[in-house]
Amino acid sequence: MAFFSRRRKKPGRTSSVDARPNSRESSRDNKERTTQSLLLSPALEENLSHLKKIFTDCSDVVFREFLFAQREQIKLALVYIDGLTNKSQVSDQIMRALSLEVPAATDNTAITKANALHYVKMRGLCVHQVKETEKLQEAVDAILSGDSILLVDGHATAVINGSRGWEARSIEESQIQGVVRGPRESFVETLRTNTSLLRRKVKNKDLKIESLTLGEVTRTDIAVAYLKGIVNEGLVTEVKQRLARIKIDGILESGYIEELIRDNPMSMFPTVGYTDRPDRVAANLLEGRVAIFVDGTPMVLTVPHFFVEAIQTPEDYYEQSIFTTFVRLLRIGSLIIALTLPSLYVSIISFHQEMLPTPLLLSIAAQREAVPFPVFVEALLMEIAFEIIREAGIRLPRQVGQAISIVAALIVGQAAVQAGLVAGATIIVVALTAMASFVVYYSGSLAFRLLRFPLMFLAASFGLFGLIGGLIVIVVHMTSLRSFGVPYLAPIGPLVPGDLKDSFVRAPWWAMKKRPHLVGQNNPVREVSGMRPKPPQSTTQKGGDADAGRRQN
Amino acid sequence: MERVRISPLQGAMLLVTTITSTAIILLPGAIAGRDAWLATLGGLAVGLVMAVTISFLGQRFPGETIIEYTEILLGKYIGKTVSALFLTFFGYLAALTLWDFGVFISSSLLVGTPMMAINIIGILVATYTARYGLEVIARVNQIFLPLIIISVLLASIIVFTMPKTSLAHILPVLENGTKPLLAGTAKVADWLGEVIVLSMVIPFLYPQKHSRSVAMVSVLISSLILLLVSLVVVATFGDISPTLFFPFYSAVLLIEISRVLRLDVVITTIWIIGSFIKISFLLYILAHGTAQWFKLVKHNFLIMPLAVIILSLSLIILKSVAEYQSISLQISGYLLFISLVLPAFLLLTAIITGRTTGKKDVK
Repeated sequence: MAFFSRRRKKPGRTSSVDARPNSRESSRDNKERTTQSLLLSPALEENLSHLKKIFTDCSDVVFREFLFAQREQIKLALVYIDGLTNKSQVSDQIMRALSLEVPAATDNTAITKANALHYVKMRGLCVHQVKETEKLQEAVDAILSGDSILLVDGHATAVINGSRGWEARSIEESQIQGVVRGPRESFVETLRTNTSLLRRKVKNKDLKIESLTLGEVTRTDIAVAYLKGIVNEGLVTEVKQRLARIKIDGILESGYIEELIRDNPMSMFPTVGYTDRPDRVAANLLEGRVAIFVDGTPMVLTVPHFFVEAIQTPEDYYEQSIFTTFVRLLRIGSLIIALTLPSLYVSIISFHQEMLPTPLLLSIAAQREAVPFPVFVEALLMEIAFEIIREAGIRLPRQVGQAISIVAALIVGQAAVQAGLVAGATIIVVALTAMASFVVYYSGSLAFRLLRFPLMFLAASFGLFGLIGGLIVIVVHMTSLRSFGVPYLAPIGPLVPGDLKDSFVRAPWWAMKKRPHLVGQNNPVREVSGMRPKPPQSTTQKGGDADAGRRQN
Repeated sequence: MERVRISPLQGAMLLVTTITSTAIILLPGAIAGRDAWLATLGGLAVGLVMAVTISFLGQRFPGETIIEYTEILLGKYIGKTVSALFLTFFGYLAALTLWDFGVFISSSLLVGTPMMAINIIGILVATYTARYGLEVIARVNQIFLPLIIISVLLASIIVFTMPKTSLAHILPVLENGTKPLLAGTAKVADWLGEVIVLSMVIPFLYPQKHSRSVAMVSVLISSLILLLVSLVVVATFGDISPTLFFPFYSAVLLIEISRVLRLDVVITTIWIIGSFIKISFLLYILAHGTAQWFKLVKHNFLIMPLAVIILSLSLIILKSVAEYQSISLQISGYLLFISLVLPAFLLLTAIITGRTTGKKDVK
């Protein structure tokens, strides 16, 4: 029925069709509207029964009724969720303060039932964050987010006390992007802690953190952070629009959001970045990007995300630039190895043997003499074996880790070679490929991990020609990608000469005067020019070492 | 339709790839023997004339491609006929490129593999690329062209440093009279005439005022690369170079570094990238031009059928390398007629009738 009425609905029809509550959506809207519009009543009992009805079968909700200090007629009730509130704060600063300490602070006779709310708020509560509401829905939301609600008899107002405090993981070292030099802290699962970590990095009023709630059931808090004045306003609007479009029952991790806001939903390449490091988020915001925090996960999304970010780490900007340039070149080499080494091996062994030096070719041929499979099958088997070991390494319980690593190393590695099932050279190629794929940013290398297999197939069928054809298809695909409207391969294709300073190389800080062009063009200048350090003038004038030597004599 | 824009640098790089990617493999000037370098210079002169013609036409009709302004200039019926000539030219060029590509790979990298298999891979990649449009082709080319040029330079330097190579081989000049030189000039000019594809790209150039320098610079750089390669080939092979079908490849085959690593596979693999891009680009242009010829708004759905046509053409267009060598001058004549005579005629018509759309559509 609902299907038909929706199909028949055409622009210009009368609105009677729309008004009928025939679809699930509109009936839910109705229900929401009734709860939304409900106001609190002055009677405490009525409010409590309302709340108790709402929280039926919620055993973790606490309804605590008590009396205002020395006033039998003023009843108070505190509603909160056990475990989400800070217990000592609730008992000391709210209940103890209201039931015992108010008389000491104020004229005893002045308190009546009529002005109780005023005294509760102004004298009684020792909570740092207090808000009032008259709407039932707001009170329920506050309870669910961990605040406690104080209801005062005779007043149609609920006092929301900011008493959130739950068991949370403490701030630890980043698990996915470790550094030798640089800050150690990483984000945790609590949104507010995460934004505070960011605020500590960027002490500026222009750091805007806008919040919204997504997930019809989970009501997950989301925060969109950006630096006003640096970020392109259009980007912020676009991010907010894409977020506002999301209507889903639950958001449990930022990955949900990532998949819902991407430009190219079916691409293997990540066009939304994520990190658990506050310094990386701060650096991204300073370049004009937007960060999306999701409550309940330490992974913060950053958009737009470029391919070159796969070879950038936070440490690159703390360590000296020349060394960083070397490491970046190493990472590019690793990326190429991770993608092409197995297929290159397959194509050389099966088609272009002349490329290898004769002694090497002879030794590989000797190793492969006993191997019963073509090199493609051999390499494919080993690659799959390695993927299995890798997956097992992530999922297996810690206790059996040792056993698995012995099995993997001995059986799959050494025993396979000794049994003549695979050549030693294949093991080396597979191991090198595997190591190389870990050098770069984790999710940036996922696509390459997968694309190895079709490339190996092409290499086995057409040699280097097939490999190069496959590579061109990959590059074409990557070139066509966009992240929030910005080309994914940005500084390389399209070529942005100025941004190459922070791609394959990392220029010293005094040379990177501009923000990346495609994200930071709103406010391009990052620093004043002419900051290149120079030795002090006086040393050279006075003759440096010679002068010092004379003084010693 | 979405707004497609490429920068003058990207445009010039695309033209360089289009001209050089097959030219370094077949080396058109080699037919002139020792005088290949002179033939290249002669071809450059003709090429510059073509570049100027095309860019003048582009300036008169900044918003239109050659398919559109031919019709504006010559009227509906004659115009349609002439622009159909251009379209067949693009199609023929794409098929010829694919044929070159197949022949080269089946005789260098994959000896014994049927040409059809190679051409199918080539056209599949080209179809995939062309569907993403001009911007993506231009960007991909921007990534790969430096690699191609570096590989050519590297190969040239290594060949030059080999003991048997000597620049003295370019003497005597005009050993066999001017006839081989003229033939070589015509062939080089026919390759440089591929600059005519710029006439399909000018509407997308931004900023557009650089279109003339794009044409000139790309012709100049392409002929410099050809000049270098011709010198390498002549310095290596002397007067036997006309008998070689892939002269530069033969020179690269001689490379041996410390007797072990043969660079030819790596270098030729990199050259192939250029051919892939060239076929994609020509396929895109053909589809775009065909759509304009039929006055269609979108061209993406034309890419697949046109790709099939080009693939079949590439398999029947020439029977063998020997046939190509025997009729290569006739082919050059046809290509030069389309890329030199027709545009010049169009420009002349435009000047005489004073037709231009330049005023209303400058952006």
